[in-house]
Amino acid sequence: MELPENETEVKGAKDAFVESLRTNTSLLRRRMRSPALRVTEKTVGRRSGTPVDVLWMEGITDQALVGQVEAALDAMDIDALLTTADLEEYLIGPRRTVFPRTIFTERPDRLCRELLNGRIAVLADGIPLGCVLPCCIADFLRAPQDRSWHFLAASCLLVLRYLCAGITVLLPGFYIAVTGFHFEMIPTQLAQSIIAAKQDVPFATQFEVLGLLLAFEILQEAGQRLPKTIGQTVSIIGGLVVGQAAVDAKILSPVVIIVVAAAGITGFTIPNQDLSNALRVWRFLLAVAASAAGLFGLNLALAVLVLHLAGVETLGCPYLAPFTAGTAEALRTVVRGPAPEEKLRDTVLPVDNVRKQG
Amino acid sequence: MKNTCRTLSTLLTAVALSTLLTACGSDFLPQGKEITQIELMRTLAVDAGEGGLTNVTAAGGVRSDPDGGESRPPVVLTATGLTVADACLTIRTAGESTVSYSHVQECLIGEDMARQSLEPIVDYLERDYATRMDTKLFIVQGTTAGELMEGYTTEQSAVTDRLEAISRELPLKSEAWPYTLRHLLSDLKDNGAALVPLVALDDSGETPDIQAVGLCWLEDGVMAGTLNRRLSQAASLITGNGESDVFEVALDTGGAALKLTDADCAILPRWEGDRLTGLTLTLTAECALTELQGHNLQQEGTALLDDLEAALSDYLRQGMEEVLALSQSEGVDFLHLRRLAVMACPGKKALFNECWNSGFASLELEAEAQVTLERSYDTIA
Repeated sequence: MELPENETEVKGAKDAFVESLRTNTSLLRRRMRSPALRVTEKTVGRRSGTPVDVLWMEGITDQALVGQVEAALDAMDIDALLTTADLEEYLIGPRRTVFPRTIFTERPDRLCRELLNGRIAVLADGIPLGCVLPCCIADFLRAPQDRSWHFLAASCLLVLRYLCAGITVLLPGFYIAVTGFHFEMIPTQLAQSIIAAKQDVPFATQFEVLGLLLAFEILQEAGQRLPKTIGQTVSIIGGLVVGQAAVDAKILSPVVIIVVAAAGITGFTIPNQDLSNALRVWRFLLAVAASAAGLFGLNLALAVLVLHLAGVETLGCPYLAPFTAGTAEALRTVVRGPAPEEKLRDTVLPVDNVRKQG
Repeated sequence: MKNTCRTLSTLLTAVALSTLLTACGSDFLPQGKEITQIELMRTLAVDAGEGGLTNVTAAGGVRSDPDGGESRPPVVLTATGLTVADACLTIRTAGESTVSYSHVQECLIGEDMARQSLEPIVDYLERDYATRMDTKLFIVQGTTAGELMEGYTTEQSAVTDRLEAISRELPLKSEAWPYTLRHLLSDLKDNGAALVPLVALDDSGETPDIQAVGLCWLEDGVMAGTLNRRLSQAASLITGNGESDVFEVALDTGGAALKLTDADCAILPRWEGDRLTGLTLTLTAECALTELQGHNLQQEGTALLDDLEAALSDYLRQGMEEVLALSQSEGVDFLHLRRLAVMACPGKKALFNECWNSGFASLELEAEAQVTLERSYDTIA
């Protein structure tokens, strides 16, 4: 048994999936003793012969979805199933989007909860993660502790995460647009502070922001590749020393460092790393659009992003599903109500039994 | 749905990219500017020039050095043009930096210009896309607005900072109130009359200073007269803009200083059938005793307080009567009594307006003041 490394929870279970498929299914059986938990065993990979289990809840999960997943596994004619990408890209088809469409979780309790919401889980031997599908964007912004904490606190944090997601993708572009094209929007005192801070800096604002965003990404990547003992030191040196040195040398203005740091830190609040990575990519695109045409370009790029997200789906489940199903459903997605009052399952998925408690 | 959205997003992206190939030149996309190349003007000063020309002086703020070095003095630029817009454009195209008027917070208008007409400057501020409706207006007395601006500006002090401080202080001394372009447009639309704060350059001290010196009144958008301090206080109280000031009242022996803490003026029309005969203005004020000279409150008790209340009530009532008499004698409703009084009889609004238009000067305007001394730091047996 392993401790969860990336999905820690203060008030939750401390077990996590391991590489052994049988151990993983036993972790699920410990929580879901009902015979309605169905497991279909498959073998994927001509040379690896990797056992893969498809799990669903009879009486809840739509059988058509189960059929699609099993058919996708049967159609996998590959040498070996070794990584999560091998599993994901074959299950949900070609990826024309940088946004994740399946959740990989290391927590058995989370997987059980998703099964009870009508989703399908796929476990593969050798991969210490459970794959949950279909998913929509709201699923990637939920954290395990949302169900452990008081519903008001959890709701506030959920709202905060949505705000942070917006800030991380829009803030650099908004800063470029406002300082380069629409400085009338800036309050006078703030405008003067920005002007004073940017005196003698030789680079244009657009170049400053884009360059610093790139440097931020390089720093993150370097921190991940290095051993933990050195990685933290490098991050501190890169962030503090180099950043301070750049400001002192009048290469960068302190305001830009604040903006990029704020955008980066708000990105870290997103529980799912895949979604965070997607937003990092789009952050660059929106900043480039803002550099070209100010708020007009930023809004155009945002419209493209929203249209793109609206066209993404997983096994027929739209990516923006909760926010297109009406205000009540959107509110239920963003705000968590008291557990005794949540009588119905997520209505974004076709399920056989909508009611989950009396 | 999925294919439609994909098609739409592809189309939008293609349209956006293809605009680069349209040879529309640099005019198609918005023109960006580096914020460091922009000089933010904070105050405008407009004067009447010779031969019908207009002088405009624009000043920025003190620019501090983020490294703690010496701050840079405010930029002051002057130009003359046929119109306000012409002069502002001349300023904008002079110098190395781009001048921006989007952060202009105050506008000083010279008395000469104000006595000719405020319409050009009001029209410019209203129509220009960069200027704001919450720009505060001041009329300059004694010097031209440009001279005031240049006389006050030093390396460490900018006109905008002083005018901001004056705007914050005005409500503390019920002589005037922050008056914006929005207020002026509303008042001019109502009846062409308005009360605008007056400022003047005070050279008497070691360093020049700008002081608020009361109010001036406009008739048909032109400055027609000024109100002294007492009349300005009365005007502020009648219009509901005065809630705080210190009044010195004299008694038979000695006197006292009373601080106004709250004031409310109710304006009620008086009718004889369908004929409007006059207005009754009742000022209800609360004050606190701050200084007492020549008397002992412990010994004299509540009788002294009653005398003080009566003295201040008389003082305020007389001030109100004087400013009302001035308004009637000039035939200009610069206090906007009509607008204030019609609220008391909304059901008779049309009749009220008809009676008002037929004879503002013939109405009987009565003023009453009831002052209550709420607080004193002495205990009274």
